[in-house]
Amino acid sequence: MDSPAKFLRLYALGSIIVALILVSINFAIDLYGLFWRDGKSGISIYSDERTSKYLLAHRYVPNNFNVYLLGPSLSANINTKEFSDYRIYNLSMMGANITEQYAVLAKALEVNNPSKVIICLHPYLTADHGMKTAMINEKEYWAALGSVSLFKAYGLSIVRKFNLMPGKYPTNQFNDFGYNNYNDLLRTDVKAKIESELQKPDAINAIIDLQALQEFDLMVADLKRRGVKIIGYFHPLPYEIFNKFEPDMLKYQLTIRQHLGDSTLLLDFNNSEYQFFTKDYSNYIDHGHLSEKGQRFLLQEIIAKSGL
Amino acid sequence: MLFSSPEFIFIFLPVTLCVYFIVSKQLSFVYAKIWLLLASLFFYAYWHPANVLIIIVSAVFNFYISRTLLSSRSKFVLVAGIIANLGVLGYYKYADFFLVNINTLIDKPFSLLHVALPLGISFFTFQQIAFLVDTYNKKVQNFSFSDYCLFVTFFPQLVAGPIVHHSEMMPQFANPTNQVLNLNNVAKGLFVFNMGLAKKLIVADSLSGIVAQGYKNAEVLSVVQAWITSVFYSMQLYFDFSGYSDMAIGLGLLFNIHIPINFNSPYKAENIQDFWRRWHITLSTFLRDYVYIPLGGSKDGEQKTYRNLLFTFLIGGIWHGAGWTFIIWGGLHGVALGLHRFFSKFRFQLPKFISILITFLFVNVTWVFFRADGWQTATNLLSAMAGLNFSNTSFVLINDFYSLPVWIAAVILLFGRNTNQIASGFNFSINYGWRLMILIILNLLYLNSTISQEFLYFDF
Repeated sequence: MDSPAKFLRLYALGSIIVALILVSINFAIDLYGLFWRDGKSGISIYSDERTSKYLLAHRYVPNNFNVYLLGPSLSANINTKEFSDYRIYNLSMMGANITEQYAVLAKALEVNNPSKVIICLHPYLTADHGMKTAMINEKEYWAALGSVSLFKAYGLSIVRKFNLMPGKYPTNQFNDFGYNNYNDLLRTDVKAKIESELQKPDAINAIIDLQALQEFDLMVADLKRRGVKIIGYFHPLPYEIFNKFEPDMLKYQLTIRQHLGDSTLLLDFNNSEYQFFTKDYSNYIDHGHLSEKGQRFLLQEIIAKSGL
Repeated sequence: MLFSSPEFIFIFLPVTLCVYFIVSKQLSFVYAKIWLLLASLFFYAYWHPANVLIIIVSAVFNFYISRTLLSSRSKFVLVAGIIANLGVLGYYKYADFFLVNINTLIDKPFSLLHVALPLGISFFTFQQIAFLVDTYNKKVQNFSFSDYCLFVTFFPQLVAGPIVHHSEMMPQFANPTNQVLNLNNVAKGLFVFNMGLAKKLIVADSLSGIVAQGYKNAEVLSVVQAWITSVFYSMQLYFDFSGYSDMAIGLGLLFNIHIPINFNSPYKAENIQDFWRRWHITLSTFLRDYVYIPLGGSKDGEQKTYRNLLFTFLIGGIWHGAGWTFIIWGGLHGVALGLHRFFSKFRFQLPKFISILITFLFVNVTWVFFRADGWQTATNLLSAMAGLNFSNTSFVLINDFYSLPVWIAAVILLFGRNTNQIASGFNFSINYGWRLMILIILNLLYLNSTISQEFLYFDF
């Protein structure tokens, strides 16, 4: 070819056509139910929990679930699918703070309101503010038509489906209810882990960041304005850990109670009524995250006490 | 507006390009250049609208000074012009650095000015100083106001170089044959621009996160982590800055303007002198022509040559940033050039591979001063690289290896054919067509991805 005009027509326009074909394929796959998939048959997560839950909150979550579970990793591994009749979607995210959690929730609230929201209350959620990563942002919507993160998700979906790297990317890590089954990845000797945490003077940082608290207030006010019932629960810490940090934790709980207000149902899994649970190491996989047995009990209890 | 932003690629560039050639064809070349000038000012104002006044005042001032020099050849006017340019640069770039250092010596410290650095001020100041000097030396003939302003503000090279020389640029702006759309240049320009964009978006940005993590935690790095941090930064800086230069060259070609190359596989250099003939070539050329040679160059004996080399590179160091780490970086390179000059007399030769390795290791170590936010960080990282960091932490530098293929490609690209070599053979064959297509698709993919996009050389 010796003509620059022909060259430009063929390859510059050709590359645009190839790009459009790729976009069309991604649109047809619609990995996050953003464009046409209604998600009735369920949409699972394969990669980047933050990005995935943020994108799923655009259509799939609000159109298919009545109740949302919010919180950091402490609630991310609660398998709400075990109680699928209640249609609870687990929007919790590993390492999430209030800024990130509210950003994901707000996206779902733009579509419609759930009947209830369950919030896992632990100082971690309000210890700081601001986005910890760039994974939750508006650009991700268009990135779902073709981007590095999308192709990474495709790659990991194949890895998970064919169980190619079970140690790092197990097949059953996520499900279509937002469950993040990291239990096997993080499981440790619970007793030893608790003992080692007890040696640390700052194992629990119960200080609430002021900006985070303001954002927490905004989220609560937003939910109340929409008529969404809030159910809060203080996450059950292993008895020894709660006991060591009890004064700080009680102060934290008092502040949170005041900010949630009287109309919120609050469950405290660290009080004496639940010591049988918090003293039982089989309910944990480490110094705070719950085992399958612990999760099951916790969710059953929340459902029973809140009249879901 | 970054070159790698959608608003630049899909709106600013096509609009500017189309209007330029339409105006040129339908109205006149002069109006087309005025349009290009206005577009360039808009491009500059996009970051900080107020700063556009600085560049306008600077261009108008230097235009009149050079006009005066053209007619009177007054040394006083030349010196006044240079001092005024350096004064503005000094105020915006070095005032706080100067005050901080003064404050350490006196009891009642001065308040810092906290003046925001206008983008590209180091670049357009140097370009205009060169213009004044050459006008005084009668190397400049007649020139128009619009061509001069375009030389200063031409958006492809405005904020991060290359540092263009008036003798290369102004004849091109004045050349009427350049007013016609040239599809050969458009095709090659697109190709070069996309190569540069890929270097920036795909390679440099995939390294940036690890570099930032490493420098942020320099005090807890292991030997391997410290070396990964420093080598990744060496690669990031090269792909970032040479990618930007490639994009500038490609953009220039779209307007039929040939911008000089700025990089020529610098990490293949066999000695430090060779390195400076390959790295930021337009800056090296400027320093040689307007600092080193006026100081006497190598004409006044060995002692003075070493002094001139050191002084030139100290200037080069402080040009890059107002900080002692930049001065140390420049000083190290000045000393290395002196040592190289000294040992060259003995004419002994190391095997090529060893020469390249030693040069790279030296450059890599000196980049630590260039990148570190202060002396402490630099020494922490260098200590860790030397295995002298004994802190026992479980710090993890690399969390995942999704970008591993890109890192491997980066190393291969460092030592393979560079973009100038690839572009020099550009033709309308299937071979180049497929490369262009792959580059465009990959760039679109990365453009649509969430990645940090910060051009390192915008700070200078």
